[in-house]
Amino acid sequence: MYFFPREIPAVRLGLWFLLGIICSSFFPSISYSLSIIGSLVILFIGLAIDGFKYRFTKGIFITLLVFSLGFTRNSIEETYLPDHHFESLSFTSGDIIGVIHEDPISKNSYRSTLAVEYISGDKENTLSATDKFNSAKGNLLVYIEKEDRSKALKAGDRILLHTTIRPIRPNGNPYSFDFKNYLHHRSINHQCFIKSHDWEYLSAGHLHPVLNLTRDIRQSFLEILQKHISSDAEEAIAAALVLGYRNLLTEDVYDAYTDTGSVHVLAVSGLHLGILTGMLLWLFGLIKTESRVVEIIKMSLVIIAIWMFALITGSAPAVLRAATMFTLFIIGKKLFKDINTYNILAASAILLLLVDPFLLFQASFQFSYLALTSILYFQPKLSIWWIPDNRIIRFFWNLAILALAAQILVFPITIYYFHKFPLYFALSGIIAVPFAGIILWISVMLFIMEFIFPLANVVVGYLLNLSLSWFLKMILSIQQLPFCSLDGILINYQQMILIYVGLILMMAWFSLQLKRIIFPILSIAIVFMVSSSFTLIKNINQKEIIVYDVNGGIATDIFYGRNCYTYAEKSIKPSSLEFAASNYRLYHQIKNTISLTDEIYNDATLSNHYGYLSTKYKNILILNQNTPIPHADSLRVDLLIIGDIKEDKLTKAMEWIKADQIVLGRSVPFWKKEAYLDILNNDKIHDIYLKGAYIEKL
Amino acid sequence: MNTSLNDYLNYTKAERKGIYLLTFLFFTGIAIYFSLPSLIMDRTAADLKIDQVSHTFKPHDNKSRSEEKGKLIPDTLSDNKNGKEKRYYNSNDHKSGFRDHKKLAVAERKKSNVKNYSYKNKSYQNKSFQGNTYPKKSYKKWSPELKPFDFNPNTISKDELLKMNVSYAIINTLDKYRNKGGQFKTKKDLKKIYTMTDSIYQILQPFIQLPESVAKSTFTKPKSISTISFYDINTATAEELQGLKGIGPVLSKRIIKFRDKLGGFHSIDQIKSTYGLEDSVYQNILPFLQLSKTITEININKADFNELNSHPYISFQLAKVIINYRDQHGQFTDVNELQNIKILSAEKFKEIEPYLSVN
Repeated sequence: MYFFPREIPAVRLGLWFLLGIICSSFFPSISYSLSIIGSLVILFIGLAIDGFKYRFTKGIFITLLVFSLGFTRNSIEETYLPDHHFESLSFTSGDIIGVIHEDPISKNSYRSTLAVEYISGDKENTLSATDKFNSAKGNLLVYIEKEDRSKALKAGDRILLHTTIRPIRPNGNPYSFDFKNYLHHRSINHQCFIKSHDWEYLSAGHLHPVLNLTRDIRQSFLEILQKHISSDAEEAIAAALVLGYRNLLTEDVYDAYTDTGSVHVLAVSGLHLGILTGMLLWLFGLIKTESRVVEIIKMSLVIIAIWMFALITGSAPAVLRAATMFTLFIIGKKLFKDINTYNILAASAILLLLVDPFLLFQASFQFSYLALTSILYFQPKLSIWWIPDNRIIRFFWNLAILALAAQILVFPITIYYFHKFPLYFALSGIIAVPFAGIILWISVMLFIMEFIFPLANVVVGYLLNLSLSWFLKMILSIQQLPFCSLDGILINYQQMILIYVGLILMMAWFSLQLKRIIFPILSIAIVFMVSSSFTLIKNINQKEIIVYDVNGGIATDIFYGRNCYTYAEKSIKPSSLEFAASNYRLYHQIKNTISLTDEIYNDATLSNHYGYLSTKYKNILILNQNTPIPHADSLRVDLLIIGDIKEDKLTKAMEWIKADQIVLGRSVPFWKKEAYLDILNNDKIHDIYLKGAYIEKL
Repeated sequence: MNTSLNDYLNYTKAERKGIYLLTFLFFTGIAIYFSLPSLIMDRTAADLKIDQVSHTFKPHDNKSRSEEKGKLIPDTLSDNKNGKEKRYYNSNDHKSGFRDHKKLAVAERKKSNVKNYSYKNKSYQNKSFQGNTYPKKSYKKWSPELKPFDFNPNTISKDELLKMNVSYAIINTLDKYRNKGGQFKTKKDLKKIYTMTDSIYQILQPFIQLPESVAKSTFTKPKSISTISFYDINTATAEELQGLKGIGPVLSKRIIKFRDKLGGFHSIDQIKSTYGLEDSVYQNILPFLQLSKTITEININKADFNELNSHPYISFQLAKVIINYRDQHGQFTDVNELQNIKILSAEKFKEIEPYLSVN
């Protein structure tokens, strides 16, 4: 009923615009000038066509026009480099002055993004041969060595670095997280590593003045929270929920929320904004007035409050989307009588995508729009199943329906990104949403009281603590329930699209009541089942070896049916191996993992003798510093994997060994590779650093 | 209400006007976006007073430097616990006089190590590792100003070196080198200190109180080709042969003995099979060898068993066979008759043929 074409112009436009952006991402190398010219051509052809007889052709051209606008916008983002971008200036090494954009995240080193302001290249490779600094722009990923000095860095600090920048290396392992792509859609394409003596702190407070102000406000609110909340975990939850400050969250707390399907409360999103807006509208609604001017003032105040909240909590895309949407909604409600909410949703999406088309590829944007569309569509249809009489039960039942409605369009993308699905989402929805509202309310009261009447805050603080601890306890107990999260599901891109097509067809079936739609839906279901059976059969018979692209040593897996024999050197961090291997193993539906860390292993399919692996089909030798060279007059192996070893050991080994295929591990240092290539007299050498993980069927 | 698919493709006049307006705004926006950099990018680094900043990378109070650090020159590059490492949290008024000497020293060392990266003199920067070349850092900006004066690296004290503003890395390694007995005989010897960089050496070089070079006694310069003499391997004496590089008294005697036994070399590469003459030495002396054909041949008709046997190429068995054949078939009329002997292979015959005659 809601999809009358006249009612949803923005939706129709938005759809083609979006498709244009997606299409452009498949052809990122098409230059922006070409796209602009293409759009103009289509525009002029469309303008030229006239007449009632040709109205459909004109319509098609207009559709194509909107499509090409989306295409153009994305291709500008991909291919346009302003003259002052450091890439245009061919900067590779030298001095950089820039401002840190976000609070550094602590891992092995402090990682953050830097907005470049000035550069001064090394004399050999820069346009400007002088020692001066030139204005520049661009974003860099920086890794700063951990020490006391760098611990104190925060967003807005301007620093001076001396470094070499390199493009971000693409991910070498199949099916593992594509960091390069992720960063590319945040306009970051280069990285640099900075040791302690390579950087200097210059000054602070260099974000946009509005952001500076909101940062300070957030800082002071954080301190207020800190004052009143005793437990660390609870403080982390409050900080994330109310202020969008997520650096205090620890792994276990985050996991608890992810497993129970309530992690969306930890990220400030439309939910919080909706609660806030509801609060404010209700408050302002208490002031009843007939005067239009006062109405406008009220609405403006609400809008200002919404945007302040969005900025204070860190300007995440989800919040900005919600803020845009709520602003348009309020304005629309004031100016027009009937508005179609899908239209407003689509309009806000178009606006955001015009500003930054890369938002389309960010998970938070996708999640928030899908969730909202899902709620808007399914909530009314599901709530008529049962309307309880009791008000309290009705309240909680509505929350459960809300959670269910939200999940319908969101679960495919959840499974695609996270490979698991929280089964108790309804339960946690009933708990998480009310608690989030309560905590938000109490925190706002806390902040207000702190400035008016600090002493009374003891009471408010106590209430806050109480609600937080109950919240955390309930979430943790849900996590303990069996079958909390359905793990280990892996679907690929095509399967996800297929599921969405099926879902959209179901929605169409609901709306249009056409029986004929059942056939495509059923066929999609059949295609799905058939393809997964084929995949299962393929995986039961698989025999494959993969040498992973990891740092620190050699890690390889041998897949035999659904068993996986893994050989990984102890020098490799378990987390890196997990990152490299887990998705791939999931994809191959591995049931058992057998670790070959002991020196000798023997079973029916494979035997390991100090790095010499022999199977029925092929034999593999792993050479690194610790494996002894096999003693034989000559040894012929199918695959030779070489790690970081001394050259004389390699020379000695190559006297005995003949290999069909050689793989150089990632852990081999650059400067040794020349020497290795001289010693290894072989054509078939696969360098993992250049080509990524090595996969071979046995 | 029946909405067909066509309705989605059909745009009313109002909608069309709206779309055209949006398109116009879109292109205007793009035009502004493209021209924005040239309008705004007028800020200069002068606003930041960057020039002052880069000066603060050096210790900013030169005259008191030796006072504050001079009493205790650290012997090793251990952690500088006295270093003033401040936290910069919310502090706007610090000066970044931060660079303590250890870090300078490390930077210096890294600068000198960069030159050693190319393995075996092959510059791997020519190979294109996909997107990543190994960084070539240069820290030229970061060395403090040297104030050199005349000095002898063998005797100068640490304090004096400090007055020159030389970095601790160089001071310490120099000291260690000297303590271990190292001596500087020429100016260039100062380069041997591994933390010494070319640029610093260039600055210090005029002030080093040492000779440019020392007369070398050990090596004689190689003669130019025109004055080189060739050695006739068939007529040279042992002393003459010792003039070749790599041939000493023992080897020369062995060559002579081998030659006498053979009866003379008929080709130069026979020398290779002298016992103890390695291939590398042979390659070195090869250009200087000459051959005159003075071979003493063995008369296979008159030679007795011992004479045949003592020839290096004729084995005990072969000698016996030749003697037997001669006894059975009578005198040889031609050396080629030996080819009739069954156990004498063609190669062996070729080998011994130059040394045999029938007269």
